Amino acid sequence: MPDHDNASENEHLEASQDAEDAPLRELSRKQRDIAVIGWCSFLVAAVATMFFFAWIDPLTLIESAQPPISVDIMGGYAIGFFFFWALSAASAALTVYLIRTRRGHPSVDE
Amino acid sequence: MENSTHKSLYAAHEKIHPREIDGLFARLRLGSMLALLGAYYLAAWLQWDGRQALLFDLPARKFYIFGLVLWPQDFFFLSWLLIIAALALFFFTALGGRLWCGYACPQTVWTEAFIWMERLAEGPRSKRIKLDKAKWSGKKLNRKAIKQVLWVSFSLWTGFTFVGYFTPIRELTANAATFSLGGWEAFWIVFYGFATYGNAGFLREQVCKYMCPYARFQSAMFDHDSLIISYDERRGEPRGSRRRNEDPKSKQLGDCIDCQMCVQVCPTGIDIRKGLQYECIACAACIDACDSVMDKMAYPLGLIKYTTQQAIDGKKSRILRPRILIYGFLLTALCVGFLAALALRTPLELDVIRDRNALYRESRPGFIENVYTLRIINKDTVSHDFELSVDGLDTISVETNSDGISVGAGEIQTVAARVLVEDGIAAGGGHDINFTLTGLDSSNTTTEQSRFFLP
Repeated sequence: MPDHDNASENEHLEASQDAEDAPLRELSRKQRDIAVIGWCSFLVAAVATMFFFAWIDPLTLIESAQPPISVDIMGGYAIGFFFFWALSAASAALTVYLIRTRRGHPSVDE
Repeated sequence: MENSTHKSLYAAHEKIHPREIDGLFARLRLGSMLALLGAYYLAAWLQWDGRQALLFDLPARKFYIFGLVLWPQDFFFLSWLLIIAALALFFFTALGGRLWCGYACPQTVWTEAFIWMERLAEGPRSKRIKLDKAKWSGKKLNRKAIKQVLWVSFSLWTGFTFVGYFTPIRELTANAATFSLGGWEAFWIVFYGFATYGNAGFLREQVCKYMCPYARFQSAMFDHDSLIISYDERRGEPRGSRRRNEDPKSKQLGDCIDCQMCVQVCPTGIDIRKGLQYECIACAACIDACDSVMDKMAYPLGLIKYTTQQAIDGKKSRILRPRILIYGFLLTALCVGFLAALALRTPLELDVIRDRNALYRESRPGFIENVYTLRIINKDTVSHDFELSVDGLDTISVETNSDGISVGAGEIQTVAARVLVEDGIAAGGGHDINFTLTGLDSSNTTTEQSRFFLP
């Protein structure tokens, strides 16, 4: 942090030059869509898991599973969380797909 | 500098190397981050009464928060707390703008920590940019490797601490030291570590730009009196470079010397001089940068500053306004209610389940009997003795198999209870009755309603 004092004036020019040909890190729109879908469904799944397991003990679900499964309670929580995540991600992905492919949407005409 | 005017839908993204800056707000931010990171990494190690002070024991389904033990039945406290948190976010956004984003959001805090490690391994901004452009060499490999080792270890430590809030962290440490971590524990450490690395090391400001819901809807909580970070266009424009002792008026220039410092320090890579943008996380780095330049030029500070839309329009900003008063009132009411409910909470729970097989039976001549199963949960941290009583009908009495009811700390006890009423004292059908459990060695008392059936 102390180095910016006297060097700064020259460095301004130099640095803005640098920024122009800084290496590019591409994140395409598809990647951004995936990030948004994954992240938002993650947040929703976390809240859903919390509410669901506050009322229901995973062990009662495991005990009544047909066919019987051998999972411990932590496994029960994990299955629950990933189930909710998959569910909300599927819903988010369909929503994004339908919006993106709607007639008149900017991304359709390109 | 106009290289970004061409806008493609497939936006080519430049890796942003924020320039390091010192100043009032940078120090405030650093202080807030150290406090938050410190709290996160250290709080898991606190002890209370011989156990972990903060432990969300998922297998046992009990949350330990210092002296408090919360059961699934207390979930309503957690929901209440979430509502308080949401309302607090509204309140502080209306008042101070995106204070959350700039100073407290985990995304900002961990990104700053990761950038700090990057700086440690690769040097200041200009060196990092050069290093990124340079061809792969032993030196580059070495620096990048050091950075990755720092990042990965920090991520794993973050994941480990996270799991430490759910599995006692001292046990977890012992297990990790002997390579005998449970499968799920190891999985969640890696999972959370990976999420930390991805969000703070790789995605960074893109989380704020593309993934954060709050960044998009926070403008709904804003009004013209909310704090924003803004560039004083009337004072700064027309911008242009000049020598230090040159009078800007002679060149018909404003106070902005167009040094690009505000752009270089910005962690989301925007130019604040283009106006308020939703990418701005209000970290105030550009204020520090601009003030340091204004200072050097011997111009007044505050060309970029915290201000309000009202002030920009030359009007007076108000702090107390309906929005703030309503949010503030609701927030205070919810907080007071929460604390009161917590203080008045009885660590005792009674569930009454009627025997489903028979409505009633005549047990001895002249008496009608209903059978119930009682579930008594002693949520306290010490054991207690209780006395059971029933009321609601004349001649009503209750019998249990044992004389007294004693429930250990944090235990659930099931008690069979037979309730007797003299035949003919009331009409046939169901009647409301109350079971009361009275603490003999404490003031923990609870009442639960049920139904009694007569022929």
